[in-house]
Amino acid sequence: MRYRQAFALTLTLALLMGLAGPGQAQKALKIFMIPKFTGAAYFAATEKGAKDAVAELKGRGVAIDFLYTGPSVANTDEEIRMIDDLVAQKPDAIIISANDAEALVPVAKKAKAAGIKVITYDADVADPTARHWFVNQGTFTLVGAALVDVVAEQAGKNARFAVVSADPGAFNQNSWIAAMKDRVAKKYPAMKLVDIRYGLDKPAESFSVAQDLINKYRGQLDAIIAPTSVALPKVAEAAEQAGLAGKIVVTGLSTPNDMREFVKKGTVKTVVLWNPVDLGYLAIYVAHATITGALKEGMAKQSVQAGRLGTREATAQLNDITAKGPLTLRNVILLGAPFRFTKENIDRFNF
Amino acid sequence: MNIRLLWRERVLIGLLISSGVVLALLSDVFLTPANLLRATRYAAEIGLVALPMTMIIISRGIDLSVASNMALSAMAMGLLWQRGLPIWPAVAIGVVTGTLAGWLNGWVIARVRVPAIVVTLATLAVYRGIATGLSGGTGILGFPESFLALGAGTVAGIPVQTVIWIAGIVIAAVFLTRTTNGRYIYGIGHNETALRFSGIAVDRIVLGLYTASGFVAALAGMIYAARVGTAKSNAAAGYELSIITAVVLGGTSLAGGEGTLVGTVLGVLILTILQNGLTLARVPAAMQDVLIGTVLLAAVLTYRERPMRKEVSAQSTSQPAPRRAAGRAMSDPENTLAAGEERRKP
Repeated sequence: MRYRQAFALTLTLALLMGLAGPGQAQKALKIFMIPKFTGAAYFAATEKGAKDAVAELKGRGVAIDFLYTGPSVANTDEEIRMIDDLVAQKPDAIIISANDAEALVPVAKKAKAAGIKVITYDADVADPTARHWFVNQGTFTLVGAALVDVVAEQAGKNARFAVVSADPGAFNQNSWIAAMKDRVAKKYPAMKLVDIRYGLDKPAESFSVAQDLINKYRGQLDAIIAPTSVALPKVAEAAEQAGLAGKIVVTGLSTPNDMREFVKKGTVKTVVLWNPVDLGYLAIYVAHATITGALKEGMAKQSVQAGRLGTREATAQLNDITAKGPLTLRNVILLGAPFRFTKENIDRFNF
Repeated sequence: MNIRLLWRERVLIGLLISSGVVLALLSDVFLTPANLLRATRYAAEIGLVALPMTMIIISRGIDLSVASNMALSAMAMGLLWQRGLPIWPAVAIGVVTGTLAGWLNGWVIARVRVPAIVVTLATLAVYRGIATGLSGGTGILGFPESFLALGAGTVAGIPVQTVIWIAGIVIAAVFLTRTTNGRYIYGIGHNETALRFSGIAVDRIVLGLYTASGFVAALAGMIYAARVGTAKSNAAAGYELSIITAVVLGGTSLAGGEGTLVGTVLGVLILTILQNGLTLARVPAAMQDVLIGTVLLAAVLTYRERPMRKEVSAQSTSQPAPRRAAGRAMSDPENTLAAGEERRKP
């Protein structure tokens, strides 16, 4: 029995030892990137971009100890805990995509107070003073408008549409929804947003809320917008299962790999997004420029040299629409205009 | 003081020390007081709720609604504060809300006689649903510093919630091991019918347990809200599983009648240092989950060996008297609750 216990203990310890990472490089800049969760093609693409940038900087003689890690599923509590743990290692910069804009404020502030450069990308924290820069993939105004424009083009200017979102507290999704409402009010007065459902960024739940919507509004719904990469393929699947492929407009934000089959079949004609590889790439350059002091928080008219992307302007103030009303964004670096993936161009992308 | 440890508690201490050593080798930051104290902030929320959970599981029950209750109580507190109530009265009403939610669980379980797993599975959904409905999907922000100190402050260098947790451990341990009703909990887990026939108010004890669970969950909900600086409906999502994992890792049997608070506290500490240390050692989160599952399974396997055999012999040789006189003896705490105690002896 004692042998068995010893065996179990040894096995566990061996596993622990075997999984240990290699020793950390000496005197390199430590940059940690913490996405919302690691198990999605979208965040894997930002990791790829970040690694490209790290490799380029290394080529220029800047040694970087880069770590990409995060919760395995979307989990605010686990993310807070991981950031808090990683801050103990005193990195030079952390790059965060926030699962919950509000709940991550204290931990981001704590890191900033410890002298760490805090960059947010993809999803910002609610308090801009809690971080140095937000690498913005496209303002909510631009992306929300692009989604509504797609619906107007494909379903008409008096379309009735619904939204399948992520978590009810997700700042990104709520803000895109606010921007959609704004676009509808200003440009398409006859259009109507009839319902919003939440799939919690989980495939099964996204699928079931999409089915609920389709059943509830059968025949009275022209389009569904899913502004999350997890929900969009599930909404497309639900539309196909209900026999509505091509009859109901499905669009939203997702990656080409997740949407390829639906775009090729025509269930989804247009997927709106930005290029996440570029987003991760830009985030590293912003982190590096903040560490070196090339970018200074709060100063107007600055720019960052971002390798193959060229120059990106760092804006101290930018007007946008968010879940909490109009907002002047502070200390933002814009990636660029949203991108539309269609049957014609989708095969050029692999992420 | 004479502390006798069970076999499984020795296994847990061995596991705690050995994982501590390995994690210290993997990361130079791990074994620093600052890091370990910081980690206890996370341990305290789970650790507090795990105390009444241990007693509930010993009584052969379960409370799956605790994490939902944390969110509900915090939401109630946040909404009242937002509408102008001063923070501490709002906290008090939040805690009362959680206590009532726990009482409701207990009432349905003890009086209506619905199995605990069914009742709390239902209230897991109901309480979370009410919290989401109340919040309208957005969090409440901007709590005063005095309240935030509950989640981020320190007392003599020790995190506030850790102090609360330690106080909770002492209170729970005194109740479970030194009071009559505490000892009856083991009896309920072993043989509820025998206790009923002995004229013991089983229902009252069960009702009290679930009410206490609601109270502690509400308290943990306040600490959580203070730590993340926001009251939100998706707070503490999935905590119930971490809590039950810690209790089971601590050697409490889901079949009832067996378990100790020492084991539960060790279980919480092991889970905490594994998560903290593995993150510091740059082990991916998915791999951490696999490891923690492996540790749980390995630990529970080792429990199955020695104690069983010893218990059988202990029961057949040294304890025949209470068995024969079960009905009468059960009403006498000095004697009866030896039922739980006897397992400590081998």
